[in-house]
Amino acid sequence: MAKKKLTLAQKYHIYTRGLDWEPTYVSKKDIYPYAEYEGIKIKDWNKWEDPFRMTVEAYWKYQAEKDRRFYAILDGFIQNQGHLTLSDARYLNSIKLFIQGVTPLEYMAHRGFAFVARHLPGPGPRTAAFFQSMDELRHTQIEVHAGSNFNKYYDGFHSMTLMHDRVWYLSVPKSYFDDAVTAGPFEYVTAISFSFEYALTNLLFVPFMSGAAYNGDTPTMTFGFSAQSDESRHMTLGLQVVKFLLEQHEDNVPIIQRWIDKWWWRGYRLTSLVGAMMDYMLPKRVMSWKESFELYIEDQILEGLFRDLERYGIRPPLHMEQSIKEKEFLSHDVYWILFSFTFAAAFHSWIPKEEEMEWLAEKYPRTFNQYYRWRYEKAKQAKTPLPGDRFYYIGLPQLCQVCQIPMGFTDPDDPNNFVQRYVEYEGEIYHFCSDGCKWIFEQEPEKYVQAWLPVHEIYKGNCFAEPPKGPDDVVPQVLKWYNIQTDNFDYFVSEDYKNWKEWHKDMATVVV
Amino acid sequence: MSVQYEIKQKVIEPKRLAFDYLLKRYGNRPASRYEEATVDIQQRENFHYRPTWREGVEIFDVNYSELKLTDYYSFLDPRQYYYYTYNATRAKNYEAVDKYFEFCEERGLFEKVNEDWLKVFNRYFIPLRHLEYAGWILLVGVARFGYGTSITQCAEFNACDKYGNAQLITRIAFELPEPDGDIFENAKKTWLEDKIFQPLREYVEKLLTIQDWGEVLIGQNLAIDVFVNPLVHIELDNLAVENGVTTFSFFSKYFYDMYKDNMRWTEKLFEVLLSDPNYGENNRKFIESKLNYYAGQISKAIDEFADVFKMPKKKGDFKKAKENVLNHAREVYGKLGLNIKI
Ligand SMILES: [Fe+2]
Ligand SMILES: [Fe+2]
Repeated sequence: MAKKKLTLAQKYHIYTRGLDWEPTYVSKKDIYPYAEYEGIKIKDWNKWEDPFRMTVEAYWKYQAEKDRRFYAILDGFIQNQGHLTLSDARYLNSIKLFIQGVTPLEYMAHRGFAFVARHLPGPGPRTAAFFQSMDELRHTQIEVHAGSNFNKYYDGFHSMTLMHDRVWYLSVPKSYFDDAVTAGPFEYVTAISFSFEYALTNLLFVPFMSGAAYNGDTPTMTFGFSAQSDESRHMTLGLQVVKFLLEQHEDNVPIIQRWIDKWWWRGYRLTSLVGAMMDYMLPKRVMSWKESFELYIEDQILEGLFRDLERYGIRPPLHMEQSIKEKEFLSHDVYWILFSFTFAAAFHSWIPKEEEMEWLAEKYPRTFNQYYRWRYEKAKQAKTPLPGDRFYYIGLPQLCQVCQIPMGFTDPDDPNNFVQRYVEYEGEIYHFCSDGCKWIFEQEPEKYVQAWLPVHEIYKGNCFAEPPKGPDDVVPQVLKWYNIQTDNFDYFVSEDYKNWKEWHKDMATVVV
Repeated sequence: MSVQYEIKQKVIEPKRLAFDYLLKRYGNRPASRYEEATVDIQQRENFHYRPTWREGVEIFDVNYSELKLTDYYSFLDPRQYYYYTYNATRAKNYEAVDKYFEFCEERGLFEKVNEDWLKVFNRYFIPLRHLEYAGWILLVGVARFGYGTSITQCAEFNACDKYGNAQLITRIAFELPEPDGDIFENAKKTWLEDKIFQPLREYVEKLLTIQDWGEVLIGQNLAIDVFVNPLVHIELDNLAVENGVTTFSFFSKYFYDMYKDNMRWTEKLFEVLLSDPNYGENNRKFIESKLNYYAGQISKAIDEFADVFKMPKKKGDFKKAKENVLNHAREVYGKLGLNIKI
């Protein structure tokens, strides 16, 4: 008998979901015990449309080839001492933030998608989730391998996993992903595949990758291009998941809306670190946070994606208006926080040079000169006993209970004040940086009271290498516990800077 | 205009040879890419929230299994696979498969398989795609709940191999003639109804409800794999050859090699678990009690395959085949020093 003709889609079904069967010896609920408690209703998993058709064999081939190219370029960069041709060693502070803050999230995403692949009862999306789980392991390892070379010559790279688990500013990304992986499988895919991969990836990756390109960091740039084909699979998965859930049952709509509201604000607060990096930490700048926010969020997401989702009964995320209002403030507030607490951070900060302040003033005509320039003028004068000949905020900040960023966000409606919100819950007061974070807390207080807040933990005595010998010994013992060595303080008193000058002093500068 | 530096050939002494945590473990030496990609990568502490899907556990928690290690990175993959080397190895392995499909097509080998054997093959071989698929789900669960990147990464790659196996069986089935209608529907029906598969299916469905990742590995890698692979890819392939069918031997070798490759990490892991200075004894008790159960069950389950040996023109000797399979299992368990009665 002649074989029947099948379409590619039919063939792919047979390769993937055709492998599934309904169990008869045990109940399906015992195999997938986490599929129902979130309240998502699935009428028919067969309605799932595969966002891409990747078989395992094709995956092996494509990915091996992509990695072969990546590692060839990385090896070349290492062999030729490529780090010496970076625009400036200051550039690497963004990459330090990336490897400490983002690389462990890639890893968490790998395990998170393994959870979804294991526990979503739908064989279609499970396949896509599995490939993403593989991809995220790839991203982790490539980033570690690229960081490994910088680690040999620069500070801030030596202990990224330990730091991710302990250091105060890294609890911002860590708590974000901990929040996602402790949620059920449906919230996880909405949070990560949709809200993060679909709505925020461009805002996170494009600045990093083009920043790398502008500043001579070939490995990061190569990784970025190479990861793009992975990312496009992840993005189509994200959109597909949300549309599928919305189409399956009308009861899903308010649940998904609540998750979109939550994860928009959570992700937006997370990317504020990227804003600080773009506007302050790249020696050669690509575009401002505000420009990138307008392009990727206002034009593409708000005007594009959410227009498209209207027909499913989905409106733009709550508090989106607030983030639009904040766009001229956000990066300045966050860099100022990082700058002020650099004595306890595993990267360096610095006072923007005069021409950089000019750039900031030009990009932020309504805010930079008005509200931020004076801080740096004063910071130059303020002397502390710490290295660096400039201002540090000696003390511990109040952290937002949800996003865990120190409470230093300017109120756009009243720019001389910071936003401060609080909620009383079971006899305790909890503080928030914004209405968005407060709203998230109120949805699930029993979750957010669990937060491991770095500053609270220091007060509780949980973050010392050894018990401090006196008040002056508190910060040193915390830094020891963080394994911060010569990674902190101002760039211009750092070993990175000293070495960079030393390495470049015998080099002829050729202007071409 | 841009500024370029002319780099003089000078040696810059590295400030550190490796990441701090690798230097602490391995002393002052550069680390391999495998070590960098693996050791101490998983988050350890200060998790912010507890899972909403299960009570009393942390995001990563040694208590997801009864099996424990003092230092989870005392296990390292003897194959040193990280993402790149794993994918590159598999891409290379699969090149031979592609070539073989081309060869079969050129020579019309799939059409030439005699109808008699095709009936046998369709009964015992094609439905295994469902078993491999279950293996994928089980192992991706280990990749989520296992502790330490060295273990979970091996499980992730093993999961990928399982899914690859399920898809390769599918690809083979696409090439075969369909004298009795849709080959996949028939195979699923066989998997769901034919008596030769029912104890096996019952076994695997029950294993899919197990939460302890260590127990899952015992049930899958030390039991299903250790019995089914030699039975299908050695004994039944021999029977095919005796019946004049050599077309599938190549695939059987491929699947068997894949099995052996995954046994390298599996055996190493269990060796490390059994010799742990603090948990070794408890691990042994757990492994022996579970494996006695699972190996016993799987051994009984494959007895149903006796029927398959009676099907072809030249009948096979199931008893002898079973003895060979048992000997293989005894060898695997013996090497680990496990006391298993089968
Ligand atoms: Fe990623
Ligand atoms: Fe907040």
